[in-house]
Amino acid sequence: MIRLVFLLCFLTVLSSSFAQSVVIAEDLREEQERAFGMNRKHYTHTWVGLHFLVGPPETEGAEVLYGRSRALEFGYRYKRRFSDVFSAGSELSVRRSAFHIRQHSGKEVPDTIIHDKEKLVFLQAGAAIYQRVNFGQRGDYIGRFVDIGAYGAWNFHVRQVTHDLLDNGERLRSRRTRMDYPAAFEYGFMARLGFNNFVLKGNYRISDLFSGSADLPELPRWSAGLEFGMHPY
Amino acid sequence: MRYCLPLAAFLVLLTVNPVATVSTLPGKDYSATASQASFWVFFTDKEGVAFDPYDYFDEKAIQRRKAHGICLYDPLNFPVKEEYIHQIEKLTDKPLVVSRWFNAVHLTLCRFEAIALEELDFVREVRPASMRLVPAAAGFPFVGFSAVGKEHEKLFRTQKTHMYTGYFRERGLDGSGIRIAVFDAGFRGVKTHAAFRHLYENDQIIATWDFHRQRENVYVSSAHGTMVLSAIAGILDEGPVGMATGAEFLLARTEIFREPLAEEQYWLAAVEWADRMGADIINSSLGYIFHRYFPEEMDGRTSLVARAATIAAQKGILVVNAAGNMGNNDQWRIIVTPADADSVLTVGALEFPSMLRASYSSVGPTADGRRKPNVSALGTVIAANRRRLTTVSGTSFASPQVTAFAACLWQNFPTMSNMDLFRAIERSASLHPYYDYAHGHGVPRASYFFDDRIAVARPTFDLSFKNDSVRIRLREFIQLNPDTEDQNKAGNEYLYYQLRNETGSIEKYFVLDLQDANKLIINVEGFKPGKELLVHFRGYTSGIRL
Repeated sequence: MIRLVFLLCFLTVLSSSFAQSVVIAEDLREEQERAFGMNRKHYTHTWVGLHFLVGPPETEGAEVLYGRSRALEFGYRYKRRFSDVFSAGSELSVRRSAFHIRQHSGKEVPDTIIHDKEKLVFLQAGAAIYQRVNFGQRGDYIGRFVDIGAYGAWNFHVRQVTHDLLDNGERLRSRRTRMDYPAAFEYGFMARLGFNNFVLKGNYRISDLFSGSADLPELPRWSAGLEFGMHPY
Repeated sequence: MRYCLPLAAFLVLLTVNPVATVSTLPGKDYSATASQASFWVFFTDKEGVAFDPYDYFDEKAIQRRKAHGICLYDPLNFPVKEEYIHQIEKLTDKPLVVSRWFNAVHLTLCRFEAIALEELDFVREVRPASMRLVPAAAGFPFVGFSAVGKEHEKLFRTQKTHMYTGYFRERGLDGSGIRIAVFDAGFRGVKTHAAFRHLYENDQIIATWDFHRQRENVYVSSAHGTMVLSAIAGILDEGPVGMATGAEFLLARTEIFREPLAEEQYWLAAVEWADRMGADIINSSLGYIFHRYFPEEMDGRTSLVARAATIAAQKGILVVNAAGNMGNNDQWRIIVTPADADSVLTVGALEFPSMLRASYSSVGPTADGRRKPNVSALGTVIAANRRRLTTVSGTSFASPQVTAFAACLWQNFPTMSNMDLFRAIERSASLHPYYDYAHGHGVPRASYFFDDRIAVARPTFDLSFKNDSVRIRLREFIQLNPDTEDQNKAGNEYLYYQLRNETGSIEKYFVLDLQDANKLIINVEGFKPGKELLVHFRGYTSGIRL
């Protein structure tokens, strides 16, 4: 019993003797990674983008509602610096593109049926390569730049969504998937004008949005919008 | 066929990269500058120029030079040759700034003009200059402000007492006779806020200059300078919030948000102006960072502002600069320039109430391994904003507190040189002679100069080395009272320790928060023999060689 009391006393003293917490710990021997940075050899960052369809459709019957036809994009970008002026890189992204089809008597995409509202939604996983030209002197900083590149994307999910007001006053919302007319892949050129985090972007889609067998007129090929690079400054 | 042209252009561009110069750090050449950019043009000589110091300098500047034995006829202060400026003007535009110290002019040029200028006989160098100056407030200007309420009483008390400035007040030291130049982004509200009324009533604002707009009105744009000035010399209803309420001021607006890439020249022009106008101390709560530089260039020699700050120090001015708010930024972290200059008193920020390094406060060492910051002060303060009081955080607000401290100290020891004062401030700091790259030497304390008990630290612990571990036995058992009367401790007791290598350089440093402890064991297994463990606790520093 006496031993137990002594042991408890000892443990109590021991615990109070070493009550402490490390609030600052710095090891200066840890080498800082100098090859990674906004204006260093390698850099990666994420970005978000919002693009709007612009320009006319290729043929009549494929008119869209501009402003509402837009794409939201989230991506991860790699940049390899070759000099203060030239860099190149690649990126991976996921994108949701919504094409709001204008409803009128001459409409042909994706069919001739008139609805109150209709949109085609493409969910895409994409990749791109680009060449960057920077302007002006800068430190470890993205700076001002122009990018020219090419992109490709896989349409892993496409749906057609329609809204109709029925005669009995009810609203009908239909959603169709696994259609046979969307093309499996999309590719095109892109160009960007960047000011640090803020980027103006334009895309030109070379590929057709619909498969050849569907024989549908093409929706507008140009899109333009803004990207926000998620890097610290 | 319609895709051939863009595809070909793209492929051509892709092939450009391999032939481009491969370098991790961009060169200083301006060959790629197609559009107009900012340049410094340096001249070869000042031969034949006339200079009358009594005409050029303010009387106070003459006094400072005479008091500290500094030459009145330093060629650095000679004017730039008019003939050179005229010739430059023939080829380009009128220079935006003329720097006597660097014998240079600042111009906006295109690439071809820069090349043409470099060919001139009297041009020594043409160097790109654009960079961005960032006020050292955390999250400035949109984050970190809040209205002041009753919950801030403790902060206010700590702000007023943490440097033991009661010793100054008791002796009537308020910076009188000391002239302080404040470089900042704007002083909006200074003329109207009650906190600064005394400065106008007693004619303590000696001169003002907006280096961007070339006019006297600096009370525009930002209130960052207002808050900084408040931390130096503000008087609130509750009493003085800054220590140097009796000092004279030169207010310079050197930072322009709308023109973020053209501010280096304003800082340089302001430092020459401050020298000419007789400034004893310069407070700069600004720093240059990534827009122009890489962290490895923070060596106190690369940037012109660091070199200008060094020249100012050589002319007897104490330059106090905020360490910068890059501590949270993993890609930067270290001191900004001109705080990287050796002769600049660099001030880090402490968090309230822990009184440890605020996470945003930039850390040392400099890129070339020198010790920075030099000292620290509270980084969160209550300050007079444009119309009201706010709490605000940043190394911007630690720096002016040390500036005010230096002014009061200099008033008491007028024969000290600026560098004597620099070292005295370091010696007075709470951790001295201990030093780490987060806190520097700690918080300067007025008590060091007036209370003999502080000057001699009594041992507070014993060290012993046994079985690959260092045992620290505290002489006083720590039992904390969270309601401690000592506002500077905020209920915490910290033990600082570091491991130094054979050359004396710090390899690792730590701070322990002690909670009811009387004995500590630091395991040094794996540390090579010859290294030194240095420990600081309650004002006492001791070391043991392993």
